Amino acid sequence: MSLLGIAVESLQFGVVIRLSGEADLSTVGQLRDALDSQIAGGTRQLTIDLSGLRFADSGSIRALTDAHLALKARGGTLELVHPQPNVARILVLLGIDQVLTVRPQPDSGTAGARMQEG
Amino acid sequence: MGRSRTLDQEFGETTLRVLRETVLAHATAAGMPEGRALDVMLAVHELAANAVEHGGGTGRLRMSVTNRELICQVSDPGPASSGLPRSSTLGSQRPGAAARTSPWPYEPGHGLWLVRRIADHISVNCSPAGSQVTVAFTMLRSAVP
Repeated sequence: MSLLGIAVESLQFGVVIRLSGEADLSTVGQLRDALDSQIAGGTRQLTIDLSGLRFADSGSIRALTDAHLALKARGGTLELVHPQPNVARILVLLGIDQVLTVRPQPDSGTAGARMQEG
Repeated sequence: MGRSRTLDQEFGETTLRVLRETVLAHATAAGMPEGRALDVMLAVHELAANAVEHGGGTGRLRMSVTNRELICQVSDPGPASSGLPRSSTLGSQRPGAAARTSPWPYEPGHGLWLVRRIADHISVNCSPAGSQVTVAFTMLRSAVP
């Protein structure tokens, strides 16, 4: 069983890939395959939802930045959204937030209240 | 004196997750604040992933704690003794093949580069017999007399 969950959802504005679990050397091949197949299939607006991801190593982050470069070369965009604090720190350490758009977790107060209501 | 071995663990690609959990638990138990314990875990993971990827598939972590610092040493046996298909035949045909037994890559965004950013001290020792990287994290003791 893989450490990494990869769920793909097609929306009007593009494709969202939701990652869950942990992304490391043992899963980087799966991650690259998922990203490559979207780009090869014509997706140009790719959103990577990181909210379910507890850990990502530098190799996995590099797979995401490589996809970003491939999309950019084709006139597309890749956006990272809602990283957990642990993953957000790695993105900052690697300087990823300088290279591509990283949308932080929604305000925790609002999100928490909404979850409690739901 | 003053140094106790707290962990001695071998690892491979499929046991990196277990290694991360073990390192986080030991760093926290040693008194590292939560954020710093996560850094220790990340650094050890990156070094271990390098050992798996570039050092022949397996490696070994030795972790010890002193009053002042937490020290992690990650070593790999080197590609030569790995038994993996990095054959001498291939090597002799390719001038660049020596790079396969060379030190782990050090480029922005790669593991060793990241480790240098988060560890307080790092020393790297590479030889044909394998690579050995030692990183140290200062223990922040609040109640030093």
